[in-house]
Amino acid sequence: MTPERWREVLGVFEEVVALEPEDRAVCLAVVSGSDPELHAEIEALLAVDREADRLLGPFEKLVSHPGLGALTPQGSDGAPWDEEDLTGQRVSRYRVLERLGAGGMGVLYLAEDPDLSRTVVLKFLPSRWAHQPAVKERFLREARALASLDHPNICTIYEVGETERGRPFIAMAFYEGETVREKIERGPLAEHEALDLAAQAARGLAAAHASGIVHRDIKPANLVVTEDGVLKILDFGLARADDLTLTSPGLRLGTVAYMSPEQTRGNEVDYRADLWSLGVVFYEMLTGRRPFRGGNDSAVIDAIRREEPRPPGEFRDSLSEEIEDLVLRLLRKDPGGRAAESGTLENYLERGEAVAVSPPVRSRRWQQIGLILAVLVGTVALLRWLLPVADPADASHATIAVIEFRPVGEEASAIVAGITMTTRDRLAIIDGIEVLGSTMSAVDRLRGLPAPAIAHELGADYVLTAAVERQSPEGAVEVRPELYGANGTRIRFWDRDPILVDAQQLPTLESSIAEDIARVIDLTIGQAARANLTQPSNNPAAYEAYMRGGEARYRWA
Amino acid sequence: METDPDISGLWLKARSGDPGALDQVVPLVYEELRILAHARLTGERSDHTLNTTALVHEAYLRLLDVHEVDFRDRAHFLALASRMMRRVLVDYARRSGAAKRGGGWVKVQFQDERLLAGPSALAIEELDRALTRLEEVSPRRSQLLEQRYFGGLKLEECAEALDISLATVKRELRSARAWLARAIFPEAAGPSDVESAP
Repeated sequence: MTPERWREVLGVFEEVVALEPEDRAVCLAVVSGSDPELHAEIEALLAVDREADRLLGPFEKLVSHPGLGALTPQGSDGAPWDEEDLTGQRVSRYRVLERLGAGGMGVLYLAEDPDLSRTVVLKFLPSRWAHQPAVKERFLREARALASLDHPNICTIYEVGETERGRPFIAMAFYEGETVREKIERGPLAEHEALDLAAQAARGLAAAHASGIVHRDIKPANLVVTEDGVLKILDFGLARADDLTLTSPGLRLGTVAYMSPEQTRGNEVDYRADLWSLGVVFYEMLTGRRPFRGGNDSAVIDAIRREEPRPPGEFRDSLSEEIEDLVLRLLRKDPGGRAAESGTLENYLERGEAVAVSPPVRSRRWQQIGLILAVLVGTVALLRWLLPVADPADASHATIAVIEFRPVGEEASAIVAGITMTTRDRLAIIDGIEVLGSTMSAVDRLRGLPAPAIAHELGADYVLTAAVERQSPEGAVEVRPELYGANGTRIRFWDRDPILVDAQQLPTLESSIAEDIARVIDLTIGQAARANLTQPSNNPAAYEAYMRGGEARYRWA
Repeated sequence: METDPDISGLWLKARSGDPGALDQVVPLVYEELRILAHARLTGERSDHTLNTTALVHEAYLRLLDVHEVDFRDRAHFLALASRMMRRVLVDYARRSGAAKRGGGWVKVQFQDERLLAGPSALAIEELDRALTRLEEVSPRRSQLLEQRYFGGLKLEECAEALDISLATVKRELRSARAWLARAIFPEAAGPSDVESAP
């Protein structure tokens, strides 16, 4: 069609679509008259118009919030993390072949080990962190812990070392194969294959968890299946950016689709977050769709936090009840519901692993049988381990909006934003409290409104704010918190003197506020949450830096 | 914040019809957005996605003295910045595509980026092509989508930038989205003459 013709079509479409749906057909018949092409085009447009949000939603999201990968400047544009491209150089005994990529977790190169003539992947700590002793120490410690795991389902670590210039690196196996993500992209997996892969991933995770290592980022792209059908978990909890920077707990990395509810809240996570993510992957392998969906990250997060997943059996025929129960159990909102309270996957290992992992067999046929055995036994053990746990009562949730604290005097205005944000983040890690608004800006636009209006606007049960006073740049900080109920009544929850903290003790400030609020609105603070709450950064200087960083972020929003 | 070239002044000149001034502003906006995008993607606090709306608005705040420009100027500037944002993204997408085609084995990835790169880069290139085609049919509808997607302009701002009524914005946005859905998902409208698909 010519542009003129299209303009005509669009013009008619606009007239027709503006009508009530039941009037459209008649109008269209009249308008298009003896022009069947026009009629057909308008009908086609009406059809996509009804579906426009569904069709275009993900697409619009992709173009308005493109992922890092699409945009990572590569090649001549300069490496984002690494000042120097190591391609062609020697690192330790390795010859670096090709730069694979860089991201929050490190810089990856493909390299050759000439002594053993094998290809390896070298992972470097981003250089801007490499010279921070604490970070380096942590990177090396985690890498060594991983290296000691030596589990068939965990990416093998060959060596943990340092370059001559003192930059730590990890040499690990390079696997050729296909990621689970690629498998899923072709459609749902056969039940036995999905089970096999989930069981392998579970075994790898169990080994890691038993050593106190949490992956934190289980997703299909991190699971590679070699040609022999062996699943390898990649990118294991190494040098994670969120550990390495003094980020707010609310900062999230990577895709949100596989995050557990506690991760979406920015809480510190334990091995049960991995179980959740495994559940999402499992679900997706079985059905080809993700259990928690939405047009954008915040919609997905909302679904993760609130929605019960539809049973996977709805999306495929003949799914056994046990498998369905298992998947749904892994997707319990409450971490305690996903696993035995005192147990880790270690229990499962003890019961299942001995039989499950067949000794190395040469024949491929036997290997396959061994794998199937492993699946069956592994699954049964996993079920036994997971299912008998009593359902814990759902924790009740109270929603709270934190409005930027009011500075009293010049000196306080530099720190209120940071204190407010930290308080929000600390509140968010209390079980039973949900802090509204994923960004301060959502709440911030309401600044100046009376508390009831804010509570109403956000649907909050409570509104928290405080007056913050500081007499001199280095002086003590005085905080007088105020809490309002949904109807705007001020809740007398602060009968004592104002909180008085001098700069050296700043890190304890917010946790005491959060603790007090939590007590008053009568919610349980879980042990794990409490442990987090009482131990923010112990380093006052770092804390100060974090606060100032937070302030910058705040302004940006 | 930004002082060297007086962008506010140039911008006001461009707005009053000085094409030379506009020619000077355009690359500055492009460069600012490119730098902002780069910083967002590589900074310690990066969440690995860009929010194009936020970038365009940040560019506006950084480049223009908000005391010198009014609401109308603001909408026009955001429209221009949306176009530049589109260019920045298309440039990145093409480079990423080129890098990807360079190394075939990169299938197995340890990190998200190239896996994410595929969909994002493809979507951006696809949208760019579709908008270019829509521009032949209806430049205004094409701009409307550009402003919404790459600049996150509010409907009122689109109306101001395109100098049309709010009702027209709403009406044309609807047909533009239907056209786009049809262009990108030709199968979605059911059996239809393939030749006639936009």
